[in-house]
Amino acid sequence: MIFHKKTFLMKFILGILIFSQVAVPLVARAVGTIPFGGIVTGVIPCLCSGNFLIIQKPVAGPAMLMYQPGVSRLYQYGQILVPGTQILGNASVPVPCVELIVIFCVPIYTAPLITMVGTSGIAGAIPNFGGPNGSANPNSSGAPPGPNTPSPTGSTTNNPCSTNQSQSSAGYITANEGWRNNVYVDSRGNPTVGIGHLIRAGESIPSGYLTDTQVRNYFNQDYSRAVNDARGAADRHNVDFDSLSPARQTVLVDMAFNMGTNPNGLTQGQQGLDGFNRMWSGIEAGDWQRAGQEVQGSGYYGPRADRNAQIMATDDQSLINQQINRDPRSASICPI
Amino acid sequence: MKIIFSFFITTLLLGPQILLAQSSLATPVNNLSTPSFDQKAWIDFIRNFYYPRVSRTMFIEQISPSFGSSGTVVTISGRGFNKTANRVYTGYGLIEGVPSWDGKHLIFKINFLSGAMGNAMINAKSNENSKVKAMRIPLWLYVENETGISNNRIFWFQFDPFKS
Repeated sequence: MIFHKKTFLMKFILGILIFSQVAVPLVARAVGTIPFGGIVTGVIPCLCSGNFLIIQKPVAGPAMLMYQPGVSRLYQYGQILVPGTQILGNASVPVPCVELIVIFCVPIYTAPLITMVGTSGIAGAIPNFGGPNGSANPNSSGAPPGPNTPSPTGSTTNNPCSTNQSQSSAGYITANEGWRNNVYVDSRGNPTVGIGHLIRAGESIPSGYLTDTQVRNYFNQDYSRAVNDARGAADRHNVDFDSLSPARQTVLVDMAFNMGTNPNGLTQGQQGLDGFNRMWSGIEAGDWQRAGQEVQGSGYYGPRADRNAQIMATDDQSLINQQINRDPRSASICPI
Repeated sequence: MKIIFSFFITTLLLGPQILLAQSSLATPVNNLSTPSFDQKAWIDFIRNFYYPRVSRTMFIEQISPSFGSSGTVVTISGRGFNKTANRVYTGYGLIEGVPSWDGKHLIFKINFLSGAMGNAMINAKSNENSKVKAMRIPLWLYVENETGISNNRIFWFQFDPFKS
């Protein structure tokens, strides 16, 4: 058989083109991206294949993924090898994890190769924020207090879902604080979890993660304490808390939740509700403009303070409702 | 005849790819579209994604050395570090309570894959044909303290049991 080189080449190229019309889309679909997201629960170095098997608790995508240094593109915060971090990215074709077992290289698993991945900061890995020796408080073994736990001060327990007013306050605080199931560090460097629940010395969250029910239970206790604190502060400044409008009560409870009541905080910005003397004077005198101005006048600043100042001055409940409606979880803090 | 022959050649070249593609199509490539995907859980996950607050006062200028193996002592130079307690993200874990005597330097030791490296070296000695691969792994270093999180620098971790 005699070939004409030119003709054969042209037909060969034509053949490739025809087949590529069929093959390329199929291959492209087959190796398409697999979006994934979850929390890293384990990392296995695959010594013979030079990569890592990442085990995640998936919210989306597969439970096993392969991370190949130099191939998988890392994005902020780059903590893919740290158990407890949240990861989010795309994976592609399956590649093997080949592990060194005794003296043999053995493929132990095949999982999609991560093509790109971003990670969270390391928030959940703070199990040792307990006592000075990292020992857990025997009274807080990770299980939060129940909703009807008496307040440590002996004052009354306030169920955040008992009335429309308290539902509104609870939703507003939730919207301001945000809802986090995992432990994080707040703006002052304090380990925090749930709805702004400060993890105090002696208290620990062993897994670094709370269920929604645990978040609610912590919140119930913190909310109850904040209401009692706001009432107590009002009493000390000759203000009848119950005579205030629901919106202004909400502002005071939110401030107590956020700052506590201690008037002698370590810094100007950390003083509590009792330290806002000129605000209390304004409330006592019914001078709401002044009271609103003084909400911001003691080192308390930011969007939350601005909003509270405006509500204190104008008694505008719609500002509270707007804030609640921005976050569906705030509206659901008191499930019907 | 020539056309059939050229098709035969191209089939030989591309056939395996097509078979691979067709077999792979039997499994879903996009898990977000599978019934097991929980949209509410996904929204919760995104909402709770932890982004540390960026520090305005803390900054990493350099790390020294910028590469090394397990046991390497790394110095982070910069400004704004807490004198008693900093959290160092090492890319493979977290080191807490790292002090900075002058607020400008942090010192810590890289302790990554030390067990695996030791095992690999033992096995490498016992097996001349060991296929253990040398790896060059980027470790993203950050410092976090009460002011927030710093910028990052990359430490190149070198895993090579035959050279260690």
